[in-house]
Amino acid sequence: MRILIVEDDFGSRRLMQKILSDFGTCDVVVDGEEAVQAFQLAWEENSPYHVVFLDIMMPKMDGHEALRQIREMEKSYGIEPMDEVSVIMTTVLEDPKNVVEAYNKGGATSYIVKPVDRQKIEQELKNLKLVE
Amino acid sequence: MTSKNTNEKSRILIVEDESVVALDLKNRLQRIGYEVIGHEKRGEDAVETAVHLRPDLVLMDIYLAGTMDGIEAAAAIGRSCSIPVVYVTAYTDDKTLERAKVTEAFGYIIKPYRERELQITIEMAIYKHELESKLEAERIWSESTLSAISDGVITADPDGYVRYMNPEASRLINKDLHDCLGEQLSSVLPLEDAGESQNGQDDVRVGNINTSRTSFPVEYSIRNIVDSNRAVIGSTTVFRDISGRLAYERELLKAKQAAEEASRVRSMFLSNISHELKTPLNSILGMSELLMESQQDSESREYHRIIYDSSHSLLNLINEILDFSRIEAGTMKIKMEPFEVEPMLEKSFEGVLLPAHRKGLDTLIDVDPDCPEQLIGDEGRIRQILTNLLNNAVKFTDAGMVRLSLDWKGDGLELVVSDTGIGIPPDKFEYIFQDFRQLDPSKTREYGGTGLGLSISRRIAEMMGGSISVESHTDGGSVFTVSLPLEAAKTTGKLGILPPVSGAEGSRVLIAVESRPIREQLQKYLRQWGATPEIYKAGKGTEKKSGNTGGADLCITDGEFIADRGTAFEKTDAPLVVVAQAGKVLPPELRRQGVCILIQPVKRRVLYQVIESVLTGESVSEAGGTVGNRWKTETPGAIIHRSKAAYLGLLTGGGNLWEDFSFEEFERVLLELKERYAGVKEVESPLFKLILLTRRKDNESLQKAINQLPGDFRNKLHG
Repeated sequence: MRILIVEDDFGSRRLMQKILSDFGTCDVVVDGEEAVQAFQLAWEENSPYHVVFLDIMMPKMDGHEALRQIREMEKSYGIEPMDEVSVIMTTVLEDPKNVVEAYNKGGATSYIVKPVDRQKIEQELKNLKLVE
Repeated sequence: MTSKNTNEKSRILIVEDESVVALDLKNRLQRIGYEVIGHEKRGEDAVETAVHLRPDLVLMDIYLAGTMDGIEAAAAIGRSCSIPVVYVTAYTDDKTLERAKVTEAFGYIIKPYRERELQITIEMAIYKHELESKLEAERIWSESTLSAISDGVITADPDGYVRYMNPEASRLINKDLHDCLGEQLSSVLPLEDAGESQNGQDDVRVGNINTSRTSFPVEYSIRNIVDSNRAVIGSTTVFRDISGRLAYERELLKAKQAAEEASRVRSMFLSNISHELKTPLNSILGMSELLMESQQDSESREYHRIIYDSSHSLLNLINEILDFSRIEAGTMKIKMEPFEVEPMLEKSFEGVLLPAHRKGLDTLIDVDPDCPEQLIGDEGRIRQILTNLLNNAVKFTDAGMVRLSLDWKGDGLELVVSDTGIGIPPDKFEYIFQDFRQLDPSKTREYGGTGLGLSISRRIAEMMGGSISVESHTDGGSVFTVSLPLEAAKTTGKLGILPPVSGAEGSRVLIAVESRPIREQLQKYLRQWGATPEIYKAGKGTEKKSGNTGGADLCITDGEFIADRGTAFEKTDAPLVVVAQAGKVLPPELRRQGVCILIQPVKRRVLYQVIESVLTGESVSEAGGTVGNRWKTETPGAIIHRSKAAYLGLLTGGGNLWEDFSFEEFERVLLELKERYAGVKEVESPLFKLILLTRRKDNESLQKAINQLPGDFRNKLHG
């Protein structure tokens, strides 16, 4: 499984990388801009991501914007809504407003509240039927 | 003729029962210049006409027709209005005179009379009447004023008998004016004095009024009334009820005490919570540091480093918040104790060394020889300010250097932190010092921060009687200046210029250092210490400026220089002093005897000791040993970096990754290149791929990808 981790905090992304490496190949990017670039690159190389862990608060381009651009790209590639990549937003508890926004308007698949741990991630992946 | 208004003729009413006499009088009056408005024969008519027409004066004959005589008529007129009456009559008997006096007439003319006498009497009557009216008006005005005063006013004559009391006084002491007139002031107003009033006026006092009916605290003053000859003609007592005010002051005092108590409670809370928060944090920090050092594999070391760094950030954050609270509560204390200046500067740099050198920034400390060795102040707080400024400098500088300079101003210090970073726009100079404000919030993600650092630093500086200001450097970076008035410690000398090393005059010292400011500083020091510095320059393929390196008594160089420019120094036998950034790897050629490594920023006295030892015959490694080759201990758990050029070489010329390869450093180089070549697809795209692979920390795939880089990529980078 190809996994894209989008997270600007160094400690957080190393942690997620460590956990998710057990489930697949992980690529790590540090802001929304890189996320969009990585997503595009993966498509061009014919090995798209299966799931994206997307942080909301990031410099340069935030999670909402990155998500919007990724969904637009998928539309232009002719991907059916059913086959869109799963996007799991990661958020700290203080901004439920942000998350609901992403959920309803942006097309996020689900969300996890930070701090994350192995259990939370595994549970989410199971819910999305990405793992058994 | 004249009345108040010079244009108007005075209007006169004649009351005379004999027509001929009346007519004669009328003619005379008109001749003089008066206006005669009427002529009555009977007393009753005279009264009615006078009240109705309001003449300025009535000339009244005493014996009249009708039931009323002149005197009765005058009295009747006097009861309804204020018109002067002058009797004109032939009767002068005592009884008549007595009766006439009672009516307060303004004149009495006896027939026969001379015309002149008539005129004078009329004029004087009118004049007197005007005066009386004015007086009455003044009296009414005074009384109204006194009634309108919101304080009690009681006037008394020189013997203490009450002459007047205004309505407010009457209300306050609950006594009627008439009951008090003529009574002694002290019984009307029983006043017990209680001292001077605090309101600032000289003769205002406070006291208590205790009557049978009421009792209350007052503020009062008693002043003498003097006439134009300075004789005392009475006294005025002014007083007001202050029971409301006293109650208010009591409430205020209670509130003040409550606030002080709250403040005390908060201070205690702060020191308690400070202890509670920092105790577990200290354990975390301490333990993770121990773990970090004991780890064998680099992955574990890296995880522990993350724990350590994060805990450190948390600790800094907590300290910032606590400082802020303390400053707000006014409980921060500034110590005044002697401290050593140069070590203070060196210590404040310690915390930022690693982040600075990880970014490849050069670091430098300049001292002023005139500065005293020891000063009196709060070393910890000064260091706090400097560390904050240095941290910011490192945060906002991606290439070049961060420099700390000291300037002694005779009565205080000027500490300057300058950098070659992105600078601050002038319209933000004051903004950045505000609480919670940050110039670039995205940097917060990277480095953390509450936006309180500069605000706290400035307030601490101000508490010490100093200030902090900022300017932009001409070539783009920022310059922060901290001015602090400080006194020298009693028995201290100056930092001074270190003396020439005896026995080392003319020694040749080769300087091969990339950074110009560091090079210049080394030159300056070496000349002061009696040696002859030479700059070693070696361009790509060009001849060295100073000839061969052999024969030099000492070489000073940095890590960059060696790896980049080739291996000129391996041929030299001269002792080598490396002034390097922390974490720089030493190429194998140099890992030999006779190398002393000093970590930037160069510590003046340390360098001096090394130079002295070497130039007077000791071996460098011995010198290094005594002074401290702090290579390993200064960089606990730090990942070893290669120079940027080495990585660049890797990308363009191929080659193998060395053992101590740093993923972070390589990623940083790649990110810099990606920014530099933004828009150039052939370079940007493969770079991004390499970045992703670097982050995977997969040595093999990374090496493979590097080897597979297309030719035009390398060409583009080269060019």
